[in-house]
Amino acid sequence: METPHSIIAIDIRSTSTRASLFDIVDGKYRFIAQGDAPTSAYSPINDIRYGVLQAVRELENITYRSFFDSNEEWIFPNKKGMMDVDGFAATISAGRMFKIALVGLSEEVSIASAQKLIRTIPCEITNILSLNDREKIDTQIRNLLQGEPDLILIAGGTDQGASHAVMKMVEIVRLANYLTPSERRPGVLYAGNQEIQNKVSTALKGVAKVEFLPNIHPRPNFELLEPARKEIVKQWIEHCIQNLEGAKELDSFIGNTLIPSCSGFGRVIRYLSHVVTYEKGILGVDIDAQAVTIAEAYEGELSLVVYPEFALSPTNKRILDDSLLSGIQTWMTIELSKSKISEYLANKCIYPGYIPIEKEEQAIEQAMVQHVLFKASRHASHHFSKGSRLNSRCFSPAFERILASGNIFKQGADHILSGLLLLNGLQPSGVCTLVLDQNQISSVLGSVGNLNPMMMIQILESDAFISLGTVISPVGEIKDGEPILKIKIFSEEGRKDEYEICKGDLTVIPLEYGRFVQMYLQPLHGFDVGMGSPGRGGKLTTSGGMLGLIVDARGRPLSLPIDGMKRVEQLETWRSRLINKEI
Amino acid sequence: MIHLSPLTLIRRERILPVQGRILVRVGQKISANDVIAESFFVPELITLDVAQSLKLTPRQADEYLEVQTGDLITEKTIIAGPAGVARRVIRAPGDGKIIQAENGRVLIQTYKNPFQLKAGISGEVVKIIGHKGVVIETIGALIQGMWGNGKIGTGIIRVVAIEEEHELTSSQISETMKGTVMFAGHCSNLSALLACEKIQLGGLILGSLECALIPAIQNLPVPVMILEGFGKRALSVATRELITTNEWREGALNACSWDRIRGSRPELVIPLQAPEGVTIPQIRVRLEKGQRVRILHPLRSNDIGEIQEIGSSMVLLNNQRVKSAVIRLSNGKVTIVPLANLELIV
Repeated sequence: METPHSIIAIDIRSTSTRASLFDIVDGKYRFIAQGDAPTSAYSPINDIRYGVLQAVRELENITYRSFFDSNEEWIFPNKKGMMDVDGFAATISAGRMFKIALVGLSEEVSIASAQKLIRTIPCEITNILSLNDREKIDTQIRNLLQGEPDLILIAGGTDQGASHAVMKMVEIVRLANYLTPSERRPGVLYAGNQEIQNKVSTALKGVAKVEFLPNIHPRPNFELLEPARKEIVKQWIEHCIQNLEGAKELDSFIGNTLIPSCSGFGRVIRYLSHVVTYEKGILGVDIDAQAVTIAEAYEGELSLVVYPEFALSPTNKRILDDSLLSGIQTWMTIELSKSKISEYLANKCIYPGYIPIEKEEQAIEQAMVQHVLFKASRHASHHFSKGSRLNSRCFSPAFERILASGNIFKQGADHILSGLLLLNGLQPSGVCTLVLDQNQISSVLGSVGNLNPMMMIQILESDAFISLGTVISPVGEIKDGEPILKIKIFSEEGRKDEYEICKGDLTVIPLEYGRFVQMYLQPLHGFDVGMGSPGRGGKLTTSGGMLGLIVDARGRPLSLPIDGMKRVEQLETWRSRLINKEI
Repeated sequence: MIHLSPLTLIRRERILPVQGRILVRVGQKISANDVIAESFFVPELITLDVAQSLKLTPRQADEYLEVQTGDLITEKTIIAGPAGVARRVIRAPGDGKIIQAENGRVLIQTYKNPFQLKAGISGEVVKIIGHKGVVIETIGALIQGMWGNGKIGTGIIRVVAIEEEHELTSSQISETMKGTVMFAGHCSNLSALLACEKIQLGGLILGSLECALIPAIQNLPVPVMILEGFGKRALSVATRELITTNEWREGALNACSWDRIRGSRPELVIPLQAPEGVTIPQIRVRLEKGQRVRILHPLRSNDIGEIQEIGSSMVLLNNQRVKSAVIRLSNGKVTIVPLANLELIV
């Protein structure tokens, strides 16, 4: 197959469908334009192709190019009808939530690994059934049935390990499936003791379609998730194809390469970790109405975690959750009661595509972004690759680059605000660069990379992505106001600027976008800037971003006043320190 | 798209979660509360611990089992025994099927409590869809809401408090309201909800609800539909007129939750006499000039207006530009609203 040089890539999200065009400009691959339309997976259209068509039609209008012929009978792009483009890629995250029941031996081992495995796709866990569960068998079966899972994942037993206990759990699954009407029976994925595969197969014969995966815990204290991940993604796509009208045709049209949006995002982060890092990993965050995705990679080893529970449109169950409301209130730049916040969330839950326009609405959304970024990144840090965890000496690992994607960061968004949301939410440590995916193309680029890897590489290095700047976040303990870091900046013209940073400061050092400088960092009082050990400094080369060069010496984790008024003042002070410093 | 219509032809497909038994026939007139089909979706299961009851080991108990997996049994069928000096026996608690009989334990699937599908609207059955469901038609007024607690009910419509500042209180609820579908502007107190349950209200329609009461409403046996959203908010003039003009008429309230994929929404249907030519409203998939829309506001009352122009863009407070429409509000003012914040009214 010839490598395509002009590609339309579609990303079908829960609320909007985006069509992006990538092509050659001046001998290099570039992002050209993007059209978008509401996702049409829902009533009354119930066919994702309509939204795809509308998004591509808008792309035609923007680019003055024709991608399809003028036949009005045409309902979906086909290779004969499509013009001016020679490749097509797609990612998807729309549709009904994929529901999975987990069955294993112990919650601490097999269930924990199974949870880690399914976290790589957007899904809802309906039940967890383990030997720890002391319910009677009829209750266990009823719980499984009431959850109405699309898939049951069975894990447990090392190879040559437990078999009787595993078969006991398999028997519960068998009975549950037997009692489920045949048209609603969930499939079963078995990722446990490989020695009893035949027994499992025999037990579930006639009541479940069983797929066998490599054991996710083949030996004691040894977890092996990667081979099983591909199968989980495959199952997710199958669920999507079965439940979304038009998904089968779309997948077939692009040569069965449809992948979840989060997988595409993960591929990009993994790629960046191969080419960009210098002894540090890459962190990616993608914030969506339906889920927050945290992708971390170090030298090609990817950790991908999807959090539907941190979606910007929370489910009914969470709108009164006090920890969520308190978390949001922590980051509110205006004082608003918890009941008012929960009122907003309850109404947003009904209309997840709602765009906040008023001051209070935007304040809630921004506070929510900071809260979910903090929560999700903290949780995901337990899943980070070994390389990144070794870099974690203090609050969080030091990353080379943090790539952020999501509606809130899209083109035109206030850069100061975007920077603050990322700094407050992720609270990076050491030295890293904040990069915005302002066109929300990183997920589809993962899919584009399958067709033309060079296209993905060149676009990732292009101005389709915008750097907010390098962030220096020294970490250590000392009272506010004490000097903790000296910075010397050497310009190409031979000028030397010196700065002394005190604990508690949030400072922007002016540095033109894209301008490279040499910098020398000298931490004081044993503060750590991620250069090998606490107190250790060194030279590095950096370039300016939209905000210049940011020094965040506020400490980790950020400490905010408990009093509501003072907290609001503090947040406003931090914001004002960045305002008017944009380059 | 939300329906708010004084007179329309309403056609609803009512489908079982899994195949089952259809209990009605084409041409049959039915009421919203009638059960039209049933199936065994999540079966009732009973575990009999034979070993413990007979004071035997599981292996010993298996020798006394009188049934085996797959057997169909009726109530009082001997499951195990007689055993021991007292010649104890264990009998089936009801009709059912043996799902598992081993290790001193018997698991029985009973055929009690099938899932029952209610009609949801009063009307005529016009089609049977295999063993899965039926299509029902009726002509009448249709008022759809934003949120429902999943219950179904019918009754005479009564209005107790139409404005949002007119809160529903327990003192407004008396025995005379029993069986009615009551409308109130807003509710923020639990005692009023409990009073509704106590008098066995046929249904409750609220303009808005304090969201702290969501868990209580979900557990309330009374069907509840919310029209405008959560938090105190005014009812639109159009909805208010539709409700007040239909007071004292019989209404069927299907307070189902809003399913964005299937398109089912909570709704009140008020069957009316049918003049000639009433048709089903056309399904519209895109916003166009001249259409009536609801402008959503999560923190204050929604507005209703008419689209004057589509395709303009609007700059948000965070500098982002979004696709918008120019809307003329019912008070004559003109405003620009993101398309995502509009809901088409049909």
